Amino acid sequence: MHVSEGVLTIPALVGGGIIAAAGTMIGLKKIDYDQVMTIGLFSSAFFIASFIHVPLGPTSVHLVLNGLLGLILGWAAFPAILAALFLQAVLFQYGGIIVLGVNTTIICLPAVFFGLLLKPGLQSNGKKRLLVSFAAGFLSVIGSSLLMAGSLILSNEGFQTASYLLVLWNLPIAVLEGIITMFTVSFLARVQPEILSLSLEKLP
Amino acid sequence: MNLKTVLIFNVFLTFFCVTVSFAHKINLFVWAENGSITVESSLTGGRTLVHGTVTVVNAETEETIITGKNDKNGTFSFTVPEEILKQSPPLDVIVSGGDGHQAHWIIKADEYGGLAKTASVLTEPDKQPVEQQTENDVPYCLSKADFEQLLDEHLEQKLAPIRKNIGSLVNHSPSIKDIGAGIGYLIGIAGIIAWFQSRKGKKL
Repeated sequence: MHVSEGVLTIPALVGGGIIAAAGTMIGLKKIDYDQVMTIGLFSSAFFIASFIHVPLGPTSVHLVLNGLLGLILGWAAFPAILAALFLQAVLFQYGGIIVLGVNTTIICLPAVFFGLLLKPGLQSNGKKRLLVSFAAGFLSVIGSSLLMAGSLILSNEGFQTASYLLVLWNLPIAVLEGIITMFTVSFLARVQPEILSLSLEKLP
Repeated sequence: MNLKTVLIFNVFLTFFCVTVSFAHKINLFVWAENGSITVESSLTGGRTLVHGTVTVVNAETEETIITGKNDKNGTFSFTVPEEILKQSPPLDVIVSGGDGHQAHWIIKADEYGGLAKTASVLTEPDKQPVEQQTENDVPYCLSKADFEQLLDEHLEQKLAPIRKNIGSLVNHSPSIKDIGAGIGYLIGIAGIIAWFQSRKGKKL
């Protein structure tokens, strides 16, 4: 999910940057003082998840956990993921500063969209909550893969075949993300239900 | 209490990621030897990048010189064309994974500039092969060119392991200390923001 520097064209970089800036502004406005440490901890969870990488065919994919962040943090996922991606770019040269906006948009936009859409489903008990959590994790990764493939095709038509493969390669990771999101939400619902309802109260 | 839960989740992820694998980025190492330039690329964690696309560009004119694909060992070798050897521009070696991941390596003229000389020495038809000379003849009969060739071959053998070490240093994988540092930054930033907000006692 880390597009490298020098791959995308300027329109894609600018478009991604604008969306990321807007999302981060909205996210920062919606953050409440009580949420700050929770956001920091989920940001670090995202930071770590990117290091869990699964070999797949000629390439490899890694965990993202964007669905979990979108579901729990809502708009606040934008600043949380932006900070983590910035540190990954600075410390490990994953992605890069120039593509920070695009990478943030690719990861956050589907996560926030599906997070806000599916969040009311967390109120229900049992299987419905599990299904909603799985869907948030699964769909966020698929959405991110599609956005990434779209930005690559937009920048260079030569990426077309590779971009289709990219979406296919991410299918197993989407399933894995769905399962991890499902179990994490289930765990949090049992031991700390406030963390799930906390951001729900702050949403419009 | 909710922070404690998320913290436990983070610790779990940290240990999981350190024992399982690392994230996704192309590592690149380029060197010149025996009349050719070798490009070795891998994914983070040591997995070879099979069928990555290698493009060699004249860094001054941005003209593409050579393109090719990695072999199954993740390497690609090429001989610099005579015309480029005469011009001696810096070469930009670009390796693309086709999925938005890309890495660059600039190889300067002085790093491959000796190839012209070496290549001409290797192809001189009237030279006696070094292997055919007797041990006693070596101190007296070796021409300058033969001596240089012999020295180059010997140095290559000696330098190969050192080059491997340099490659691993250049492309070092993140350690648990690096990952811990990243988490520390994120928690620290959140802590500073929370502290400031607690003093102000208002929303962000």
